Amino acid sequence: MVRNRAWRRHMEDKKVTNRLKRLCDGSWWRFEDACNIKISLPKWFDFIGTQRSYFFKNSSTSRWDTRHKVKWGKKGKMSYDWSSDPRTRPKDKKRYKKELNELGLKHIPTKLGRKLEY
Amino acid sequence: MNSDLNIYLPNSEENWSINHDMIYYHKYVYIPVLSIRDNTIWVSLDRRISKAIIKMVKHLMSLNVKFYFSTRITIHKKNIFEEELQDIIRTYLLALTDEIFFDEIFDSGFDYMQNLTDFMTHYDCHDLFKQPYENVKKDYLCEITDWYANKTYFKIKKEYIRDFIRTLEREIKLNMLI
Repeated sequence: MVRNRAWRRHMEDKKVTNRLKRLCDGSWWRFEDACNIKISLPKWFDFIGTQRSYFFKNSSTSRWDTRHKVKWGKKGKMSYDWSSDPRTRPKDKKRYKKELNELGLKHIPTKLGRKLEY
Repeated sequence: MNSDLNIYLPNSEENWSINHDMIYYHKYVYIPVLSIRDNTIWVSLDRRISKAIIKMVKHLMSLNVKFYFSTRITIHKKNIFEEELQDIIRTYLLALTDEIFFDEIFDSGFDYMQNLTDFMTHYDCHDLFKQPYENVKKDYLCEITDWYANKTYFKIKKEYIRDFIRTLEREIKLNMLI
């Protein structure tokens, strides 16, 4: 089985649809969709783009060794990092910044991409 | 008919598709974007796919085609009634409250208010403008007080958007005179 970009996108779509279907158990009183149109009996695709759609967003991973990993950055709920794996993204960032400081470089995030300044 | 609609596709992305005289954009489901009825082009102002709609508007501008906006519900219907005309005007106004949509539409050089006035003259519904406009003003321009934090704030954070909505009625009247 080829696990390319299309497969990853498909799996992400499946997760999001399942999350939205969980929201759509019963009727919501005075439900307004992303376009501010009132709908009496909303279906799961009416929740796309609304504030409620982020309610069931996962903040932890399914893997055992990184189950408490901060998935959405340090500003997330679980700020304490239990992961002992050095290959995690925040630890990579720390290592990257340390190497930049040692070499005397500066990191500037831009819209187009990352750029290095000498 | 499907071959005619191929002109209106802004990109060669996989997300765009044509089915039953309508262009769809895929985001978890196929959401309708463009349809043609009575020889007029309708674009749905669906904020679930605001980026795709802005792309479509820019593409239609480059083609020099006249089009109107509609709601995500009325885009499926063949005939438009009076209540639905009011809903379309309401969606025209509510789209301005979205900060990203406002910035990108006015930066692209698209005359949004002229489009609204053209729509109202085409269907003779200038009288229907007043009620949704007052409702939008009441909902979005009022100052909200948070008594627990002892702070006041607006629903629309940017001041120039609020000023634009306040002076919108006068601008439409000027567009009608021109």
